[in-house]
Amino acid sequence: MSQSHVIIIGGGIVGCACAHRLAETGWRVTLIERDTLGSGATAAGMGQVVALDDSPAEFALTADSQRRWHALGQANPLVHEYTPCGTIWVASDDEELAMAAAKVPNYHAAGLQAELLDAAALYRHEPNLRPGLPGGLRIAGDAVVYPSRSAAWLWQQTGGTLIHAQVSTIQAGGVTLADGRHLHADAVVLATGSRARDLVPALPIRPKKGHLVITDRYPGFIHHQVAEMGYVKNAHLADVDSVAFNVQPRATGQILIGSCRQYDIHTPEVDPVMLGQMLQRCLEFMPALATLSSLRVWTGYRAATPDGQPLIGPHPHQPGLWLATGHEGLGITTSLGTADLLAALMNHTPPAIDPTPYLPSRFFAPTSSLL
Amino acid sequence: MPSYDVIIIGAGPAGMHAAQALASRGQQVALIDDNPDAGGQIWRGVNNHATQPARAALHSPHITTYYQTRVIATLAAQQLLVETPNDAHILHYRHLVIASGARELLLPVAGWTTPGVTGIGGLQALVKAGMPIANKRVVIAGTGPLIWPVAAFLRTHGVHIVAIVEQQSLVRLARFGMHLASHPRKLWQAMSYATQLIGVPFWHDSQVTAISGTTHSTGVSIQRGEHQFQLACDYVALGHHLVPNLDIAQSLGCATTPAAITTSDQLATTIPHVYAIGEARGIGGLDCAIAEGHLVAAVICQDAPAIARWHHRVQTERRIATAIAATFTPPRLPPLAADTIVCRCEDVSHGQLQHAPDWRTAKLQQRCGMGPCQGRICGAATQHLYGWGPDAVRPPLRPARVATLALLYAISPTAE
Repeated sequence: MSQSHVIIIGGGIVGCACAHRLAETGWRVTLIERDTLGSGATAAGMGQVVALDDSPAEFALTADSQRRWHALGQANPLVHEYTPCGTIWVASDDEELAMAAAKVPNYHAAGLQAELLDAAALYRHEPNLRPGLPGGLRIAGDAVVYPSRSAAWLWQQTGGTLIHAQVSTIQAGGVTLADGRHLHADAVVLATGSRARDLVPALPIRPKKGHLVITDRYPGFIHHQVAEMGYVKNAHLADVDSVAFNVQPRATGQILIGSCRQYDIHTPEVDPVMLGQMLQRCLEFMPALATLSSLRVWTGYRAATPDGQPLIGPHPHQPGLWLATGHEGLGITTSLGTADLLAALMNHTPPAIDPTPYLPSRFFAPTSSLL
Repeated sequence: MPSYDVIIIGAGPAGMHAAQALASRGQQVALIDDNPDAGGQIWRGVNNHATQPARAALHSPHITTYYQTRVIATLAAQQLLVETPNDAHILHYRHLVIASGARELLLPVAGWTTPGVTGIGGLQALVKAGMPIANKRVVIAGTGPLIWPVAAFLRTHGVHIVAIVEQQSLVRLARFGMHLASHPRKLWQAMSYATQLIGVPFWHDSQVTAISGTTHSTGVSIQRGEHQFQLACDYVALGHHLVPNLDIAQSLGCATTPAAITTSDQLATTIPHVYAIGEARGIGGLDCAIAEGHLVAAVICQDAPAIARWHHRVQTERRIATAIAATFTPPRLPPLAADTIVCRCEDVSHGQLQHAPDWRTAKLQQRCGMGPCQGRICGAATQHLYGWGPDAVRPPLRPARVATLALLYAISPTAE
């Protein structure tokens, strides 16, 4: 029996995870990457694996993915630098602490660990937070990984064909490369993150620029990924420039400092004012960061959709084209769940979670020919 | 915000002389240097008749010195973010003079990460900082004109120099010597080093292929043609000539080549209000740096007679730069063993890197160049070893405190 052949465009964490899962389920895979595996937003992001319960759809995909990362990371912790440090969401006032308390049953209902921290417990876990905070929420199952290496590793397991090239068009039955070559496939998966519109202009994707800072090595300075409760409010949903406190301990002892979001900026240069605002926000929550030595600042682009959920599933108007993009700031986390969901849809097997909230068709009017 | 007529980055010979010449014409000058004192990497803390008057003149009320100060970012509207040991400032300039000098090219060789192995200039800096070195056995190896003054310096500090190992041929060195003969002062300088180094074994056409020792260097293997020699020593000073510091200029958007900041013959870079002088304009040595310091001051102050005088002098001195570049060509490296460390910050070996397709893949997959030195050492090495290109320059230009970068929230995008 001849295998079905799929071309995946984009060798970031999402494309590599899709390739990995599709190969596991019997597809012959070809991956096309214009730069190097695990570059793009995969290299620019924090490498966070977080279960977020801010909407049922987000929670289903992140919780499912958190479990998958746990299994993958535990099996090969050195490759992925899988560090199950957990997340602490810091409440800045009693209202946010009440929000945190309300989340605990949600996590427990999904079978995930969640623990409400009072002030004493918060400072026991993270003594470098500023005084006067009322508490927080600790999600012990969250983790950090080194996603560029994970992406390359996931790809290496497939035994597929890697082509370093730029795709110029996608058409029925394959793709055309910038050098004029045609490649044929039974299916094409578009996983090019914020650049998805280069190939499918009608997609509802906007790039959202971010900055990150990495410090020298300070082992033990923080023990968890630590973020403000307002992170989702300040970051994911706002349509204007925003900053939010979010710091992360790396396996090397270095600290990653974020985060900020800017819409419709297309230049990769460091924006000094945005960088300064982001760090001011972080210093408000963690003043001891002030004297840490920052080694490097970089920027990247998240692929944002209007409703904050990714696009996973068939393109409603282009048969044979499948989408796996629009993961905003959660692409590392949700890459594994995305891959499983996409493979189930492509293989007509039962998916682990309900695919409906992520189907690209939610943004497309039915075509007139079908009416 | 402090504002200056001219900010000079680098208080080596070029920067000091520019500061002195600008101050004497009434300009308000800020002189910034990473080191605790003026003088530059080579001449700092050394009594040198050529640089002493300029150093004394830095006490002028027209000059504000910022020592132990690093330029962290170049900003819009002629502003710089700088960091001092305890503080950070945003400074404004009308004219900017880049006198950022050069650093040693340090290329990997088996055992180069063993304690006791340093750069040539690096060893000199350690000794100036008080490292006891008297009666220690030192091998100085590599290539470049830096070897001689540092060897002489070390000898005056009681060092037993086991050997000087220079990879260039005697013919090529002799040709360089002939060139010096037309610069009497340099010939005199060279002869004075030679006098100070009488009795020191000199190995030309030779290179160090390995350094032995586990907790500290104990010796070197030297290859000369087909022959291998072993020498016992306590310290090894390695250097493969100099590379100009270009990152500040690149951060400003100035055109550069690998060997120099691109400038007009009146020292203007390709960005308005920004000038480059000294080694950053191409390795040219002390006298060239001094002349360019004077010339840039004359250019900024539009002092026509002085421009003519110093321009002529610079042209003469730059001829030696051409000879230096022709003599001390990029070094050949002995084949590296797979376990030789290339990126010492992140412990990445040649074996891990030799099959990587490019610098970006090596960074992402192996972390090469991602440590505290930010590729300042291994970036040049990987360029030599694998032909990988350098990265775009981004702030922070040097490691900076988080609080320093946080100061950027308040900067104005336009001049005040």
